[in-house]
Amino acid sequence: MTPCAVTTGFFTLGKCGQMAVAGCPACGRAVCADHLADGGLCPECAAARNRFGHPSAAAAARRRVYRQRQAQYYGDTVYYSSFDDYDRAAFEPGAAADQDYLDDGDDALVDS
Amino acid sequence: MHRAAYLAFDRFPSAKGSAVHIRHMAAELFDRYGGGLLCVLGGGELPAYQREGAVEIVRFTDVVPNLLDRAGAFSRWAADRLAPHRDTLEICHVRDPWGALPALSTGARLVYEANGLPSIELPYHWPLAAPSTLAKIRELEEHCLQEADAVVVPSRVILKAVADRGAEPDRVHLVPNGADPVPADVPRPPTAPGRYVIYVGALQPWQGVDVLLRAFARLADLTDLTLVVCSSVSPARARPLRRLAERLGVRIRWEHQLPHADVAAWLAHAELSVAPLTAGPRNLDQGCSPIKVWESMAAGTAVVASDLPVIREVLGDHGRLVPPDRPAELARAIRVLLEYPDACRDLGERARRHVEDGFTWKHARARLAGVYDRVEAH
Amino acid sequence: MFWRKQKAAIAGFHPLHQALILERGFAATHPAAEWAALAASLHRHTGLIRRSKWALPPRTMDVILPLLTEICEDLGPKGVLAVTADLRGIHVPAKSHPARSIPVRPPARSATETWSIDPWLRLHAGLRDGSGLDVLIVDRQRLRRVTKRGSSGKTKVKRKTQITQLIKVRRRLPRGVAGVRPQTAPPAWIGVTLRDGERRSVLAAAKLLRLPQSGDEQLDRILTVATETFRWTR
Ligand SMILES: [Zn+2]
Ligand SMILES: [Zn+2]
Repeated sequence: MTPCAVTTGFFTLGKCGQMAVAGCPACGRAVCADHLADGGLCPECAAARNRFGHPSAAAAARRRVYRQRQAQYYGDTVYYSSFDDYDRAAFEPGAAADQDYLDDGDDALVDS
Repeated sequence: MHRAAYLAFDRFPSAKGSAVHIRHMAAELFDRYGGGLLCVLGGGELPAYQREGAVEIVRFTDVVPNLLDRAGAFSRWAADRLAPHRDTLEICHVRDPWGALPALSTGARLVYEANGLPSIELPYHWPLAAPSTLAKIRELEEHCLQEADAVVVPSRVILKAVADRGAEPDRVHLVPNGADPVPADVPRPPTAPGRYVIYVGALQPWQGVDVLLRAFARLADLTDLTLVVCSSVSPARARPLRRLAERLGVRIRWEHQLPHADVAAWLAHAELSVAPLTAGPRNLDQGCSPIKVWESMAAGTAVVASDLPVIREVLGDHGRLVPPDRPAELARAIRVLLEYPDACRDLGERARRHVEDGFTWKHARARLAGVYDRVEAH
Repeated sequence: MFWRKQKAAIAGFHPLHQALILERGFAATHPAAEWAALAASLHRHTGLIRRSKWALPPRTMDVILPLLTEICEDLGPKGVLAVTADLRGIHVPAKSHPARSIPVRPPARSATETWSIDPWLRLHAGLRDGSGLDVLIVDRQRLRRVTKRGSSGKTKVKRKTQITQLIKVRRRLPRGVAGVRPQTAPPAWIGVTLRDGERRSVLAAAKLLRLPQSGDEQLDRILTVATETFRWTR
C-alpha cells in the first residue's frame, strides 16, 4: 500500500498515511480519497491554483498565509535580513565615502 | 524590571550633538517612569554595563564591520536585553529603525524620535548604496513610523518627511532641540586665541565646513582673526578638511572632541558662530534642528548660518542668514558683522533671550512630557 | 407571529450554535466530528438570521471558529477538545471588581480605579502526539476616573481606560519527550518557560499591551503563542 503523503495537523505536522488512491498530477505526491481536491490535485497544489472547493485546500491556503505572517513575528527583529549580499556590499568598511572616517567607527546613522 | 526603555544606535556618551539630545530625552523618560533601561552603542573605554541609580545602561560592543550587519546585530541584541522586561515594559523611546524593531516586538508603546532618516543620510557616507537598497531602508522606516504611537520630530522639515512616510499626522509632535542657558560670566578658555570665529559640530559633508574654510580664505587680511573648529570627531577623521585648510592657508585652530561642558565657554567668547549647512537633500528634505545653532544662541553669540528652512525655524530673525554653498557671500557676511560689534552683540543678546524664553532643554523636556501624556492617555 | 422563520432556523441549528446566539457563550467537550458539525451550522447563520439581536457574538466567526478548526486537525481519531467560550464582552457587570480609590495629587481631587477581567476563551485538547494543550485568553481593563477642579471652579471627571490581553498556552509534553530550547529565540513578546517534573510542560505566555485590531491579528497571536510551545521539542 502507498500511504497518502498529504501533511495534516496544525501543530503536530504529520503525513496522513491512509491508503493512497492517486498521484497529484502537479507534484506527484500520493493522495488518499479523503484528500483528493479539485482537479484531482493534492490540497497544497489546489490551494496554489486558488481552487478552494475542498476543505483541506482552504486549510492549506490559510496555513500558508499564517506561516508567512508568523515568520514575520519571528523575523521582526531581523526584518532587514531581507537585505541581500548586493545590499550589504555597499556597507562594507571599504565602501565608505571617506576612508578617514573609519578609525573611530561612525556608528551613528543620523546626526542631531 | 523596568517600565521604560530608551534605545539608540548611537554611541553614548560622546562628543556628538546626538549624545546631548539622548541625555535630555532619556532623562525625561526615566524621571517619569522611575528609571529604565538604556540600550546604546559602546566602544572605546565605555563599560558594557553600568548602573546609575534606577537607570541601567547596557552597551552593544560586538565588532561587526559591515554597517548593515552591525545594525541588525544591534537589533537582535537589543531584543534580548528587552525580553526580561517584557511584562513590565510600558513604553520604548527610540531614535532609529534598528531600535524601533526590537521595541515593537515587545508590544510596549513606542515613541519614535526622528532626528534623521537613514534612507536620506546613509548615501552620504555610503555612496555605493543602490537605490533599491535605500528603498528597502525607506520601507523599514515607514513600517516603524507607522507602527509608532507617537513620532517626535525636531523640525517642520522632517515633520513633512515623516508624514510622507505614512506617519499619522495627529501622532507626529514637534519638539525642537534646545540648549541650556550659559552663564554670562563663563570664563574665557585659557587657550583661546584673541579674536575668533567658531564652528562647532561634526564634519560630515552636509555640514558645509569646506564652504566655511573657503570663506575664511577670503578673510586673510583680517590678521587678528582665527577660525576655531570644535570638531566632535577625532583628528584622523578631520584629515581631509585639515588638508584643505592647509592648502587654503587658513588661520585655524582645531579643538577635537572637547567635553560638551567646555564648548559653551568657547562659544560664549567667540565673535561669531557659523553654521554653514549645505543645500543638499539631507538638510532640505530631512531637516534637523542643529544643536550647534541652539547652543550658540544660548551662549549669546551671534550666528551666521545658511538660509535654509531648517535654520530659519531655529534662528528666526535672531541671526544672520546667507545663501548656502557660497563662500564669497559667507565671507562678506562675516566681515560686515565684525565691523559692527554693537549690532553683533545685540543680535547675540536677542538670540539668548529667545532661547531662554522657550527653547531651553527644560522646555524641550516639557514638550516631550506632553507627548508621553498623550501616549499614555491613548 | 414575529420572526417565525428565523426562530425555526435557530431551532435547527447545532445546540452550541444556539447557545452562542442566546447565551453568547458555551462550554462543551467533543471530538473533531462534532466541532465540524458546529462549524457547518455556523456557516449557515448569515444566510438565515437577519435580526440583530440574534447576531453571532463578536470573535465567533473570525477567531473562535478558525481556531477550533485548526486545533481539530491535531486531535486524532480519539482526541477530544473542551471549550469554554464567554463572548458577552468585558462590560458585563459580573466581570468588574468594585472600584477602589487611589491616591491623587492636586489639581485632581479624587480618583478611582476599576479592574474588569474577561477570560473569554479557555480550551483543552488532547492531541494525537500525546500532548495536552491548554489555551487561556483574558482581557483586562483598567478604568481610571479622575475628578478635577478646573481653574473656573468647575468639577470635571476624566476617564482613562487601558485594555491589555493575556494569552497563556500550556503544552503538556507526551510521555518520555524532553523539552529543548529551539535554535532561534521566540519573538520578544512571548515568554516561554520549560517546566520539568513527572510530566514536563512548556508554558508560553504573551501580554499584549493593545488588543489585536482585527480577527485575523487576534487569531495570529493566539496561534503564534500556541505554536511556540511546539518548537520546544525535538
Ligand atoms: Zn500536489
Ligand atoms: Zn490523505
